[in-house]
Amino acid sequence: MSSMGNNSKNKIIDYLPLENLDREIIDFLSSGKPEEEIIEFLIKRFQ
Amino acid sequence: MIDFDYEIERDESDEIRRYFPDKIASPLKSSTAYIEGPNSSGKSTLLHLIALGFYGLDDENLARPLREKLEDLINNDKIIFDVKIKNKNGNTLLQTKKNDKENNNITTYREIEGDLEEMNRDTFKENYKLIYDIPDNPTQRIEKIADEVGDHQKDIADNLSNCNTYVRDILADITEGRDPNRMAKLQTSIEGQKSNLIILKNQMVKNNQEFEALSKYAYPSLLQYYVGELSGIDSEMSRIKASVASKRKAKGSSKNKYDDALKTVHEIIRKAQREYQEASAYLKTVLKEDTNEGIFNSEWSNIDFVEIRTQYRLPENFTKTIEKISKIVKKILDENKLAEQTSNVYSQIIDTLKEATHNKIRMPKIGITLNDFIGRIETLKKENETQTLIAKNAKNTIKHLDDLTIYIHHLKFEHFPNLLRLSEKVGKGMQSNTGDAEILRMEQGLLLKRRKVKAKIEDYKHKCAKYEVSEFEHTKMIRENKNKVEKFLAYTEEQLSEELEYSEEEVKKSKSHYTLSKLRIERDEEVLNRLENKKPHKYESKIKTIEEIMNYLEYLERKFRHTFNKALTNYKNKTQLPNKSNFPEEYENTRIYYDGVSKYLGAKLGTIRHIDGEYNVKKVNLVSGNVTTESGKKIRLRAMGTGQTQSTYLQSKLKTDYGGRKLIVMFDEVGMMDDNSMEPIKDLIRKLKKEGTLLVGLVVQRLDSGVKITPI
Repeated sequence: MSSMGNNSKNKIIDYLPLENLDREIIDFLSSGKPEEEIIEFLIKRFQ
Repeated sequence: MIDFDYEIERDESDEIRRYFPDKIASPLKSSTAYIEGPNSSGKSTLLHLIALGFYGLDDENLARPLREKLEDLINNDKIIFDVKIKNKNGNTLLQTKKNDKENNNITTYREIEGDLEEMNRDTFKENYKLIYDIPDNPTQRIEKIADEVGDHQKDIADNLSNCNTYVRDILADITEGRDPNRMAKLQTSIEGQKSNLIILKNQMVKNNQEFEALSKYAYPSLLQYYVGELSGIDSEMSRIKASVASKRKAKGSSKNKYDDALKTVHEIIRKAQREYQEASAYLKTVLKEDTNEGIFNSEWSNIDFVEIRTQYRLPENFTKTIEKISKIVKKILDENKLAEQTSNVYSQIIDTLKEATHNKIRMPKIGITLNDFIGRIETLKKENETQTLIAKNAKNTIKHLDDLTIYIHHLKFEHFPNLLRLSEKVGKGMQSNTGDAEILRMEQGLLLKRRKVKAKIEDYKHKCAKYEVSEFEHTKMIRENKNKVEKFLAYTEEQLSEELEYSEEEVKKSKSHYTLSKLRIERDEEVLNRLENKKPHKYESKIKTIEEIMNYLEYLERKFRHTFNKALTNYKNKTQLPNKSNFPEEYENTRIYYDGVSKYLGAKLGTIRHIDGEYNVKKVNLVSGNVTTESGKKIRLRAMGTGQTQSTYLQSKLKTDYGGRKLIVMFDEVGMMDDNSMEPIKDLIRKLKKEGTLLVGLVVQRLDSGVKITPI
């Protein structure tokens, strides 16, 4: 997964009509973390 | 530092010119520099070669004038080059070179732990970003900044999609793994299929037994029937050949009338004989084992059509025999008519109930299922089967007997007397009135029939051999297993033949159903066995959450790929907001999206210079074409000075976040910018260099008075 738009001053997701959970997950997905870590994170957020 | 060398060989028709680094000499001591110089001093050439080496042509957003120049250079000139980007210690960080003028191969390297390693396009794209631009038509280019929003949205959608693929794989692993729900369902299914398999097996055995009994009776029975037919045909042919009539020829002046009458007579005899044969086929079944069977075997079977056709004389008592047999058959019909009517009623009930089942029509409760009820009526119907068939065949017999009577009547009272009268006129006796043509026609008809019968015989012989049935086994079957073949005794040859085909097909079908069902059970048992031997998946207990995540990711991906993408297209096309009163929800969603993108673009520009002031930008609304500042000032994009707009555009390129990739920045022909417009760009280059993000930062400007290179 590529990373993009992570500069805290200039992230497009901060300006789009999204929920906080959406932003949190999009940020996490673009962090370049391994897939196993991502799925653990998602399970934790959805349980 | 940038170390470089190149040779460009250009064919100008009248001469070949070669270009080398000259006024802009290698090395450039600083990798961030403001280069000024006159035309043809080589400042743009250096930028072109760096861009070619670092995959500039693969950048789909590369400005058209630059793309055209790069393509012209690589395709029309013969070039070699070697460019090294070095750090302050003189170590090469990046290198790109082209060694052969005759091909377009360019090799690119990067430094990894002190060594240079070859780098392909994907590795470059992942780790570096080439920002190579020419700020022509800057107002339009500012609007193009919104394209980046589209790129970001697409990247986010791709990330969501990749993650969803991973989640989907996990879900598939759980489902394919030791999923208790699936195993329980599979177990129940196997048990159901096994019960069904017993039913299928019983059906297959029953069909086999029925077919075996039928084939033992029917194949030899049909074989012998056709052997008899063949013998009859042979005998008929011999008698025709031997008849006096076949040796005579018609002569005389009234021949035409006589011939016409003769033709009519033969046509009616042919029709009468066909009715006789049809009636015979049915009579054989109707009178089988009846007390009157003897009349069929003697009086009826002895009717000789060869004699009728050659002597033009009806056998004695022919009409009386028909009447006698008609009377017997009518009596048989009366005895079996009720069974046929009952059977018809059963058929109607079955059809209606099947239709009701098919259309799921609610029916009153009767204590058993509708299918069971239909099954019981079918059993009752079967009990009537033989009697029904006898009634049906009796009806057919009567119809053919009636038609036969009409033809016989016409022959006797009209056509034979007429023929006799005409034959006397032409001076012939009754024994000399058949022409050669008629004899030939009769013989040809019989030969054709013989061929068909012969083929049937071969076919049934083959079937007897195939099913290992002796050619006379039917008599043994009637004698020893009459109950098994009793119902077939009432069948005509044609009905028997149809029954055989049907029964053979049923055997094949039931065998195929059984085999398929057995295979299906074996396959499911294998799957179940495999599942039982599997270890439970790590996330087996979290399957519901995984499903929820999958649905959520799909929803979010759709939002980026479709909803936001559509809204962005409208925004870039300057489409006004939807009508608020007609589409309140759509209006609100679009308004929030437009506002968000405008604020994002404002944040990207940060500060701009306008006339002689500097302003913090709050929003850039591309739909209205206005820049709104933090102080509330509204500046129209098109009213901004060209140099200031160029500067604003290039700043936006440098303010974009490139995800930590190292940058190679080159701006060509920034001629419209004055010092005030250029300074913010230089500041940004310095800032990025300080942060360690920038590897190269070159800005090129025309200066007629000479070459001037100023480190930034």
